[in-house]
Amino acid sequence: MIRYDRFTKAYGAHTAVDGLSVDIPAGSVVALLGPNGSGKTTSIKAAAGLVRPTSGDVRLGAERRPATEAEARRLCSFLPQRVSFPDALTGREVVEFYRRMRGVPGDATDRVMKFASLNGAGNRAVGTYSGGMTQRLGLAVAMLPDAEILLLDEPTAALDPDGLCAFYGLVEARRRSGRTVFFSSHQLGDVERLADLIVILIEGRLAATLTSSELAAKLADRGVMRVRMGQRVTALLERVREIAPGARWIGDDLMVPGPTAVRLGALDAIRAAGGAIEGLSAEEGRLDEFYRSIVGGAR
Amino acid sequence: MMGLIWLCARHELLLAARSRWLQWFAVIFAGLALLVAGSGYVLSGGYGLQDFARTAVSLVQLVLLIVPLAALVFGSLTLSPDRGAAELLYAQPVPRWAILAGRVIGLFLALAAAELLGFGVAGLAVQYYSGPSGASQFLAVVALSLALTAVFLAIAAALASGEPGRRARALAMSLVVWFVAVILFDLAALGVASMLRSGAASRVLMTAALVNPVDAGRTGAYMAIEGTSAFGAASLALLRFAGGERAVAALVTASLLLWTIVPAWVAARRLGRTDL
Amino acid sequence: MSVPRIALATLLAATLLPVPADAQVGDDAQPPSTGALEGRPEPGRTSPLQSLVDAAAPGDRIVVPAGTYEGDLLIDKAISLVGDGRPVLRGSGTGSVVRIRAAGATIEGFDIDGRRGGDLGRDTSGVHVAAPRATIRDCRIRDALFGIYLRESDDAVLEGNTIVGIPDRPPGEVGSGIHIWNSQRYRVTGNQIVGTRDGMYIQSSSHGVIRGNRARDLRYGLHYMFSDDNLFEDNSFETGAAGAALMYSERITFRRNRFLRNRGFASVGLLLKECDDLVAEDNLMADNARGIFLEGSHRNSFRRNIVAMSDIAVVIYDSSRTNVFEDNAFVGNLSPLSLVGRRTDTRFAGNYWSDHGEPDLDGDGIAERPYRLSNVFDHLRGNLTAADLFAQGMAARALGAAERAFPVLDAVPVLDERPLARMPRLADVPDVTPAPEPAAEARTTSLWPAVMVMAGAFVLIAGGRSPLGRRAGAQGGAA
Repeated sequence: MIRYDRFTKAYGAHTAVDGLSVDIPAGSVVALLGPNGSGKTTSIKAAAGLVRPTSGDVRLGAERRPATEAEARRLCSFLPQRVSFPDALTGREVVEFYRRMRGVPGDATDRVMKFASLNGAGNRAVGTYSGGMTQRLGLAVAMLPDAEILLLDEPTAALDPDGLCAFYGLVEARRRSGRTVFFSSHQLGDVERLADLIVILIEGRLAATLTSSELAAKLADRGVMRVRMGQRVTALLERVREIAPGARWIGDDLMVPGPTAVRLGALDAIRAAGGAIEGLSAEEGRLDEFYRSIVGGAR
Repeated sequence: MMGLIWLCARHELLLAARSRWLQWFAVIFAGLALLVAGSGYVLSGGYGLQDFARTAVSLVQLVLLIVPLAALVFGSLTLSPDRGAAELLYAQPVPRWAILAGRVIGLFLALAAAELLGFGVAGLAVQYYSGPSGASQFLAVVALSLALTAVFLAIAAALASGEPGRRARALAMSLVVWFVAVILFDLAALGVASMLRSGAASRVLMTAALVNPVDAGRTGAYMAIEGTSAFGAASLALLRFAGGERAVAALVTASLLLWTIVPAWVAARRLGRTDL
Repeated sequence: MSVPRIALATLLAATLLPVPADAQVGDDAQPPSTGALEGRPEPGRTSPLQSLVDAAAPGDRIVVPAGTYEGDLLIDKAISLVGDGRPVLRGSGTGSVVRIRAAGATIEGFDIDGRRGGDLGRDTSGVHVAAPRATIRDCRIRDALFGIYLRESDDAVLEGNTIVGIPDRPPGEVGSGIHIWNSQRYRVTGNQIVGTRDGMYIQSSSHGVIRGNRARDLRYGLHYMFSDDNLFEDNSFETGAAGAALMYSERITFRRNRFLRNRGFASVGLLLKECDDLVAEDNLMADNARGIFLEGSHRNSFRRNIVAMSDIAVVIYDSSRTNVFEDNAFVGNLSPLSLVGRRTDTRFAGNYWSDHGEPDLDGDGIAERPYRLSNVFDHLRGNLTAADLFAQGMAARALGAAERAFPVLDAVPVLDERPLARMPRLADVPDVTPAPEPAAEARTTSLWPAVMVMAGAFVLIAGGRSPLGRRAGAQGGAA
């Protein structure tokens, strides 16, 4: 549905996206994941037709129209990262304007206002809205047309709890009706919760394409187990390090990094050494470490 | 497509009509026009000489100064695509040029309405003081004003369209354009003319008077208001140079048209090539 | 987007006026025809009144009853021909309608119709006079090439006549309203002249009095040459290509005249070319392209005049010497002075300049700083006509401002050393009487400002109302 073919975008000497080739299949919910400045926004905007490729192209739909054509944008509905609207308009006027622009029937306005929990504020000027309300209004505009593709740039970054709720509902609804959702995020929670497929972009290059469970596994492998001991047991660290070389003390807690199998072995080793385990917790691997590992691995 | 352009125009007009900026412009413009209309009467010591035509001449000065400035400032502030709003707007399935055209039309309507209001108020005042006459001259000033509004909105669009998120820069450039169009160009033309032999100097000045949209507007308006007496013998020289009064009218119109169409085309092209 | 410019184009096309082909002020002195004087009209073209005149004795007073009398008439005796109930003398259309050839004749109270006929070269007139001491009083002359023509006719009296030119005929094909050639000591008072070539054409005729006449809608109100010691009082010269153009003459006095709305491209309220020792006092020169024009004219004196609403108040060629402007009021002119040449010894003192804006701190009625009439731009435009195109632009003003800051730019300024701080009361200057306007036109034009106000307000108010929310809002309410 969205096909990036060696999409490259350079701003002067800085290359924001470098040779991105990826196919976002129809009917899927795909997350674009990556650290800040990795080219996520540029890639999403290219699909929305806002950014012209320096080389390569981005094509939409079955007809493979270039995204920069106005006709291609009919397939899309796009929500920018931080949307803003003229202060002097009411929320309803904003939605009405975009509704007419998209040629959506008149009853849509009330529906999307209600969906974005803005039906009470519809006749208030946008200038009086909070940041979260403004973003919700953006969401309402984005969901006006039942477009083939819903493109969202960091949708959860500026949303308040009401907005998040609406956003999750919107993605689920689109998933059910077989639409394509492509959104960028740097927050793991959204990605794991929503995405069927995760495209990882690092420093402008495609780093990996993973399913949601693959990602979970990879992250788990980079997790850390924290074992709370009543007291430090001498020589315990050496024993554990035979299994998990990265283990170390933090206060009276023993930190054991590594995949699940390693952790289980470490627990056995602790018990064998006669350590009294008072508590146990696990942290998933952090994304930045994950990114670093991918980049390191690639090099 | 026309429906969508009109939708954008209507939207922009809505924004403009609600903007403090435009409301102030309408008030200030009406005030200045009234002042111009009234001051002639006061200056003449109540001799009642300030009829429509005379007011029109004074209003031309006001129009030449204020209208380009207002169109440039308002246009560059409004049309400069800022992040957030422009991203959403230009992601709609409408060509960018059509959205831009709609916005420029909306701004034009708003500014034109404010100007009409000002002229109307001044006209009522003049009528009160000295009775109606010379309405066609007065309408010539209105036409001049509308033409300059279109010209400088188009220029503002051209300046603003390539600078997403750089509103201050677009504003600064439009102020430079204003200064050049209103003063520097004429100074340069006069300076060059003063160094040439009189035949060449005349040609330079007469060309200059048609090339710069502000000068073209002034030339056209004065000749429309005062006929061939507008610039004394210079009118005759100009008529001879251009080939008659119809030719002057055509050249003035062509100049103003070109100064609208070309910048508008540049604006659409720049906007089309800009990454938002 | 193209609508406003199309409107402009039509407006420009519609309102650019055609250039009068020969409206340039020049010394196109017209010598009278050298042909023989018109004498007795041919049979068949003779007025039925001719027999009355022929039968009368010198000194007789003939009263003509109301009616229309067709044909031309020769008056060759010192008689008085007086109309009772405005009889109409309808000429033959081939020559002058009334020909006065005897000294001391009077014609009074007639409507005279020239029937648009005759020959400029033979001076075809409504009333043609070639004899001394003629009196023409209270006659209405229309459709004649010349209205009243005085040829070598001293001591004539023209009183209270109305002369209306031939409509729709170009100025080159008609004569003047009152044409005076080589006729001394005339008195021209209370006449109205409309739509002829020149209002009054006066050549080589001195010691006359021209008082209380009004000439409008013509080429030159007064066209005047080689005539000295004449007195002009209380006349109006309006809406011509020039108000009064005076050449090669001396010792003329202008008092309380009005020079109004003379706006041809070379128009002047009062133009003097090689005229010396003229005195102009208490005149009103308003709404002219140029107020006063001096070329090669010396020792002229302008006092207590109002020069208002001109593009240029005074044009002076440096060929003019020792002229004086005192106690005048210059009001609302776009530019005070255009100096052609390098410098002038014209004296400006004690005038009021409405654009001066300098305060009068000590309250003596004189502004604290001298008024500067000249500027760099004027030097340029004085020598380069095309610069006039920029005279009303900001650049010209910027130059003026720069010069005030850096006086070095204009080494020999023209100054009024003691400009008045306030508009003086000039009680003898006549008021403006507004030009009559057709009532119907007034009614239609007066709607424009109101329409504009309403249109502007409507767009702003309706534009600020939301068209976008209303429909859905209504639907939302219904649901």
